Amino acid sequence: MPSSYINESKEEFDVLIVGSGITGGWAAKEFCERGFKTLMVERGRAVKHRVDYIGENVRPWKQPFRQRVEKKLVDDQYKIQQQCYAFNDATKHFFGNDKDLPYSTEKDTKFSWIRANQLGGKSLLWHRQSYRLCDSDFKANSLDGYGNDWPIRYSDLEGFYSHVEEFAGISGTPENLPQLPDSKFQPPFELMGPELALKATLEKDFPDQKLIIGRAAHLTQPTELQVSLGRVQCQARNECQKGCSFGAYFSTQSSTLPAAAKTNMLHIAPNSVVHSLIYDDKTKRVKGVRVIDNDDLSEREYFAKIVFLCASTVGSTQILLNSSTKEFPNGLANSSGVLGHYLMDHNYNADIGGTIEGFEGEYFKGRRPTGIYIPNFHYEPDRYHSKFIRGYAFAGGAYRENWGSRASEDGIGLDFKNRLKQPGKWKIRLSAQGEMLPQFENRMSLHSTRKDKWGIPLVNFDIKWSDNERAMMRSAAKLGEKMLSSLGATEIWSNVKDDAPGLAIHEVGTARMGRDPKESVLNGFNQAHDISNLFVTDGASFCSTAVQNPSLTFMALTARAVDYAAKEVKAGRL
Amino acid sequence: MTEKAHTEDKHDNQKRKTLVALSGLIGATASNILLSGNGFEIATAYANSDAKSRKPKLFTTAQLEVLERICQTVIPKTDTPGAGDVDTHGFIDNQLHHCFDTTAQKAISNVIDTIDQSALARHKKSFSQLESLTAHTLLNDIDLCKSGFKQKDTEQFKFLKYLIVFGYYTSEIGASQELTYDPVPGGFKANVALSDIGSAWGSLGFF
Repeated sequence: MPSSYINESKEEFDVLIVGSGITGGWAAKEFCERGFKTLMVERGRAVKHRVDYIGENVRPWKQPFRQRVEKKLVDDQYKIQQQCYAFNDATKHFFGNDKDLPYSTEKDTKFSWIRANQLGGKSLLWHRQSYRLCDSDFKANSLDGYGNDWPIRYSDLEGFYSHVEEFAGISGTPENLPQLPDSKFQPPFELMGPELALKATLEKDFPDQKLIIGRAAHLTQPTELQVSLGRVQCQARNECQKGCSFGAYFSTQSSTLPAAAKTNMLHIAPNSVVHSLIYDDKTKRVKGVRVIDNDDLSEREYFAKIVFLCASTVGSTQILLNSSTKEFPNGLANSSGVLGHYLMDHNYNADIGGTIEGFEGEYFKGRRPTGIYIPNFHYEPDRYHSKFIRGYAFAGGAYRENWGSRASEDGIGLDFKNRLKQPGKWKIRLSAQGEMLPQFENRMSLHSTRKDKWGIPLVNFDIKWSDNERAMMRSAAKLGEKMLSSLGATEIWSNVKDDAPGLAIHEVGTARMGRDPKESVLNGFNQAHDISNLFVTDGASFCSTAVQNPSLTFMALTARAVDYAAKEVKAGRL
Repeated sequence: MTEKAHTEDKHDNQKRKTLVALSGLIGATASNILLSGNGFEIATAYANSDAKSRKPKLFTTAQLEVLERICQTVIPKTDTPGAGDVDTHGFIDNQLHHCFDTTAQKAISNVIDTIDQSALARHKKSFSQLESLTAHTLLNDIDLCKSGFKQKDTEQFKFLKYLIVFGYYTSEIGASQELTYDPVPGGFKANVALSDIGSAWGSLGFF
């Protein structure tokens, strides 16, 4: 485990990383392996791999409410968090407590902010879908004029994608698709019969829509290195968010933390809520962080030569906004004035489903921890739909109905029991995952008066879907129905919801990269234009959402930023 | 041997067995790595207290007796126990108390009374005293909204049926004897013949 947990320290570390989720874990591993004495500052408690996975492998009948969460507890502490699909009695301790972590929203707007404030952060709770962005994704802003141009292209990131994939372990199939570059894959999970049938239908009738198995950060054929870190192949329990003692999915605990700890360069300061950065206006550099103790609210400081903010999209920007100085009255490193702006999430508001006949004798063994994926087919302007710009993907899968959805069927007694003993109809479900346009008006800021218990101003969200996202979801619902109809599905339905942003848990933007310091916070290496020893490598740095799940790109951007920073240090420029 | 030691011994035994099985699958080194983890823990956090000695939290004893009979009629004993046999009624009382609002609690209390009153009106007996076939017919009527039952009765009954089904198939008997339970599948295999598994999985939907 980590070289040491620390509380007080006057020492100047080589690098200080704020946050320990997917991004912070990667920054720690990469710096430690390059010989940098590293301090990881985490606002929440330490969560030990295996030991603290208290919900793991507890049978439903051993849980007091069979995985439901007590109503009073939800009402008091988890009103927001319970909106997340993964929130249940066996995972709830990995979610933030809404009572302690309030935030506000602008009038007539909503934002669902899902939190995971502990060592490992959301890497314990993520859905593990892992996709590279493609070259068109990095060009989209410049081609259609929304947002600023990404200062990097696919070729800048390609090698770092490979680097992080080989370490993390991504299962999937090579497909050679222009909109979804192949990763370095471990063997894929299998498609089920109805999914193979849909794939064949799409190949025949919908040449633009390619169905592939979802690429997921699960070990299916672990490498020697992965095994040496204590990771083994996925056992197909699909109970990942409870924590996985097999280390079969990528998390900070299973992967980056043991790798970093092996170097003896890693130090961790848990329960350390970063209030703000300490800036020296003479040297124009950050010196460290001011911390409020998570538990007893006492104050302390940590120091380092380089600071990496990896505190999540909203968390990192909140810290910058709360670190104003005379020189930066509107937030540190915010000479551009765009800090907090261009907040985005993915839009997951269209669902489609249907029933498929002809596979009644088929079943499956194990619980596959991924689904099917139909990559974005509107990935460049001449492929845009006439009613909206940018695009979306479909994620979903086939399943057989069981007692969970069949309880309301008519019938009681022997006949009913015998019916539920067998699996029900095969169903197939698709959900659209749409890009959200970068817009200046969509923003987060600090509340002018309200503060949390650590004395930090609350985040105030002001974000809305635009007509573009709504039109996209309507179109996705129609196309999904057509695809299922072409497959010969019955009982086809679709639903376009109006869920607020936040629930995709893909919030990005607010401290965007860019070539021009006048319109962006970070340069092409995630380094603050205004402050050379300050980096932000989490989702805050994104210029657009693209369509793909963002975590793999967080990893690659972070590995690249560390590589750059290390080289700059060596060259004497940092 | 104390009860606790006995449980721990069983636990260790099971853990050893699982590990032996796993070594074949993932190699001895890798499976040893897991010894310290929760991967195979059999939780002792919660155990059903003795159903008979427990006091209901929401219902009267009479209501609970009717509910037990409803549970057993909806999911009767076959070669595996029925829903009443595995204390699904006690589960519902507890679950409603802890996880649902008063509207839901009232709806279930109400439909239990509706069923019992209907038994009294039709047969001059409490529902819990009816012959199996008679009880079945009465519940079938409310399930299908016929023979004098109203839409509201049927809606409340469907909700109760959902709770019975949930309680039964998440019980140890329901999930692992009536259905097939596989806590650590070892990997995913698509397109397996249903006949090779034999029943629906009791281990789905708990991520």
